[in-house]
Amino acid sequence: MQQILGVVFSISLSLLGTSLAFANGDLAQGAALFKKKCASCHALSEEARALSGPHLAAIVDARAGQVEGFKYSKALQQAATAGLTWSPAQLDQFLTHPKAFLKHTKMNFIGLKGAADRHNLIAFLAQTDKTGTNGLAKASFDVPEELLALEGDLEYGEYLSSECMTCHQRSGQDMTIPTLMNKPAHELVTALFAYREGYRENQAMQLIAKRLTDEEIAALAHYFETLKN
Amino acid sequence: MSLTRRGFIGNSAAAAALLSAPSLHAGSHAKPRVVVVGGGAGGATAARYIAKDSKGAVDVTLVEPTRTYYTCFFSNLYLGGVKEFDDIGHTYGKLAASGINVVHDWAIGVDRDKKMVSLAGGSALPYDKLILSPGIDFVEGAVEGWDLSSQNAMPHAYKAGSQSELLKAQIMAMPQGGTYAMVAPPNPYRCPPGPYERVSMVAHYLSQHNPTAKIIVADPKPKFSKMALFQEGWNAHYAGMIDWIGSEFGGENVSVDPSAMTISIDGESINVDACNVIPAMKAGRIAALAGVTDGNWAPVNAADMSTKADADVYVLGDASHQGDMPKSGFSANSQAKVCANAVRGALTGSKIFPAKFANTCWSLINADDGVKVGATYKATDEKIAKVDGFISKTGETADIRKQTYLESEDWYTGITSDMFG
Repeated sequence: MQQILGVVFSISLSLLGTSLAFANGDLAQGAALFKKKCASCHALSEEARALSGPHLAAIVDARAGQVEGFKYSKALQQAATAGLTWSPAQLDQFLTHPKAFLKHTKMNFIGLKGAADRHNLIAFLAQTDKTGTNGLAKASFDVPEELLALEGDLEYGEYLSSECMTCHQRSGQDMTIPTLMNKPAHELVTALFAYREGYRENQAMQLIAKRLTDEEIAALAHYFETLKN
Repeated sequence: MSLTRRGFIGNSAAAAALLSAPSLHAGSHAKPRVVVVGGGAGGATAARYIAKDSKGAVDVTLVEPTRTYYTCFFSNLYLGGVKEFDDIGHTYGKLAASGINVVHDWAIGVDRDKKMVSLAGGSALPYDKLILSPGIDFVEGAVEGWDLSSQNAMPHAYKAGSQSELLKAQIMAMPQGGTYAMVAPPNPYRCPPGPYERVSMVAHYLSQHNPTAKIIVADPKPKFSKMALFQEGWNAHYAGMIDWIGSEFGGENVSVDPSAMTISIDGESINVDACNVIPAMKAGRIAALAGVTDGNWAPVNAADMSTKADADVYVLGDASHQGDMPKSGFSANSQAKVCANAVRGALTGSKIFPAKFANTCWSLINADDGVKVGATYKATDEKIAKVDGFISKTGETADIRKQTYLESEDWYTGITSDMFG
């Protein structure tokens, strides 16, 4: 099982299907653009509390207007009913000049003029899975199979988790700091590994992860997996 | 069998297995008893974790005089108009519902021989382990001309609550072009960036409502926490409004006259419209009454936060003298978890894991302009020692600063639910 998970992860970090045209996009550039232009209004995880815009988890090739709880503009609702799908080509057009593509969209964004910028951003969005395993500061990385396969000591995990709970909320709510409750172990292992090795940026998390051993990462990940909201 | 404290902690699993639970606490009562004095970031967290993790095997009593606790952290955001007063208030109902005996009273004495805490209301609480987390009190005579009887004219607002409301009302009542003065405290004190975040938040409020007002800070220190970040922000957002006078320019030579509303800095007397005096600090008084202080603070062992004076009395947070951690709510919360793990282990035989500490202090310079400083720590024989750290950089983009502020909002929700359930 752990073997399979490892493989799934490396696939999710590469690019699939109709996104292939964007396979050569610069992910780091895309990530930087996302942070700069999109992140204040759009989360990357469907578990995140909504910002002013809908989350963009797995948006590429998704049907338009599908984020539950978000009140889309009438214009977008109509386009969605008419069958709009966010293929890379459609996203490319939309992002060039949103109000030209969809006159009454709620999105107050002037657009990205540079074709290469749009290309990189869409490439970045295309490798976001539904849990928002993204926000990667650098390009793809591999989590060692041995780390993914480690069994975690639940009692040690419970103790270590107390440090996390100062910032990460038990309620399951999240916005900037994600909740860890009931998160699949392989996701947390991947995230902590990425922080520890510098693939993912956040000063506080890099600092915390830097002193975690493989065993401690496994203990934490397996403990949080057992917790319900 | 002889076990040193260090040996016991270090080989806890083996040691705990050797010593069965009932032999670990004296007395004839059914369950071991923990009394926690002080319901802030240290005490509330320790009480909650001991009760939660021992699943009813330990009797936990929390003594806290106030029914609604106002956090010092984020109280500056209330002064700046970024948060409402109710946003920083918390009650103890969830802790009580989780089985903790919450007693709203003042602890006024500790008999360490009889292991009893006496309360102002007249009753006494027996304990096997006592955790003191009383926060700070002020050193008498620290600022010439100021004492607690002048705290209405010149509030400290360094214990949040009515003092915060009072200071805010005085800032709002300042005449156009008026002067706000702050007397900053000497090291060590609660929340190192706190006074400077407060200056920022007062400036934030004044820049919107009283843009010609001035802020003067008399500081006994030559430098302060996140100084470069604050000064960059003050220049960018509040140019010309803030005059910081450090010790090199006479900032330590200060006296106040609360009845005349004047402050004298290095011999020069200035009329002020609002004056925030933050005096030198010491451990909350119950620590001294318990006889576990040495000077202004209570020295503790880094491995479990037990005091040097008494292995059954622990001191958390601001009141402790522990080494490299700043006196902050985050630090107290972090220390509480290490302490809770050790206390529970000592009383029930549960596994004691090695101490790990962390701290992050977020500060808000202007709306959406957040910065942070953080570090990790470990327990050594001498003290809690810093391992590694980070600090926000000057010149960061507005997006990063906003992200940092949003992060602090989530942290606030996280830590307060970690404290109060």
